[in-house]
Amino acid sequence: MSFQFPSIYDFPPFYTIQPNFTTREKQLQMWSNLALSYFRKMKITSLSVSESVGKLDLFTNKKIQRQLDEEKIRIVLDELVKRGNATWKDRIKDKCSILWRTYDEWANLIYKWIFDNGLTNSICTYYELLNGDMSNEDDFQGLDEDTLQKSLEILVKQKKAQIFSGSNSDEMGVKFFHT
Amino acid sequence: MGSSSSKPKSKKITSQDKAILDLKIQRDKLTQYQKKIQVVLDREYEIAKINLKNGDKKKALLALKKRKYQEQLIEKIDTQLMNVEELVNNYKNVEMTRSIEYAVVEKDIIDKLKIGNETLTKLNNEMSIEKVEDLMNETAEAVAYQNEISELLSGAFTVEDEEAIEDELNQLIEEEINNKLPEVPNTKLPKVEVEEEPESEKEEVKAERKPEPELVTA
Repeated sequence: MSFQFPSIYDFPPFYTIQPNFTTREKQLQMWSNLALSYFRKMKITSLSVSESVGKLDLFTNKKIQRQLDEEKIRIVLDELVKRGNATWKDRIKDKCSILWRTYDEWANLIYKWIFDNGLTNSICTYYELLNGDMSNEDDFQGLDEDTLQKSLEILVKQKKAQIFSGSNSDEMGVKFFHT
Repeated sequence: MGSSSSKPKSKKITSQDKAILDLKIQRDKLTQYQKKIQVVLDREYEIAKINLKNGDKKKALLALKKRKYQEQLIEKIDTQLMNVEELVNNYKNVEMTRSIEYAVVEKDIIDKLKIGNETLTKLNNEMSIEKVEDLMNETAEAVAYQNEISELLSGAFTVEDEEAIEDELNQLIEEEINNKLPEVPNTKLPKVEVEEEPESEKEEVKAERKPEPELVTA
């Protein structure tokens, strides 16, 4: 899978945070748009800043030898958080959930999939939902676990599911209901 | 009014639900472990090779024995996985027909879960790569561990298993011998004087090609 980067990606000043307030606003807007469409295309739903720096081609342009360092990646992700497209998972702002779908959208998607596969009234483990053979083709395979949890909580509120744990482990499972 | 919401289904989690979840969790764990232990298996083989190179046949054999044991565990997991899957499916059928046989299935589930947990514990013991590396060490602790393993494994194999391990060791030894074959001489071969030929060949080609353009222009 490859992502078609826009021309701005090859523009060296794009990688320097602009001093002028208006320019900077515009720049961050462009960065967050770019990042979001990249994450969507590559199906990335979680990210660690320290592990992405210098590795993820979104933030590292080898062709023009420019890259965002950790601090700048954080600025871009902060912008995404402001727009509601990401949440920090830890205080040190390293791990981040990326939300190119809202929790509601994920919840609907998961429930639709369960319904379509005749899995209402049956029990699934989280592991199975995220890594299962059956979900191979589906968008939520490899979904960030925090995002899964929040989406399932929405289904619980809608009385479409119930979350519970096994009797001798902390592993979680979920039972889906036919509404 | 034809509304289908007439019977308010209870949306609670029953003990059956929990049992199913337990089974499925165990299945997930077994699958994960299966992936992990492959790494240990590969390392064990490497260690056998290294020990053989160092001339320690006993340790090499021990590594191979451990590997065999781990392989048997994996096989056990496979059967166990199938059992669990079958149980989950059985349970679904029972639920569908609403038969009262659940008690039977439940006992079965509990039994299978027990076996599964035992396998998981055994696996867990085998999983640590540090322990595998202990075979390489010479400390008193490591030697004690080696003896312990050796004793533990002595009863674990059938005659065929033992033979298979011996075969594997012999194969490794053979490989080792092959590796020690005299090296291919490094000296350059005496030069044969044929260097002139390619040049003259080229000229010939040129000579042959030359007439072509003339043909075109004509």
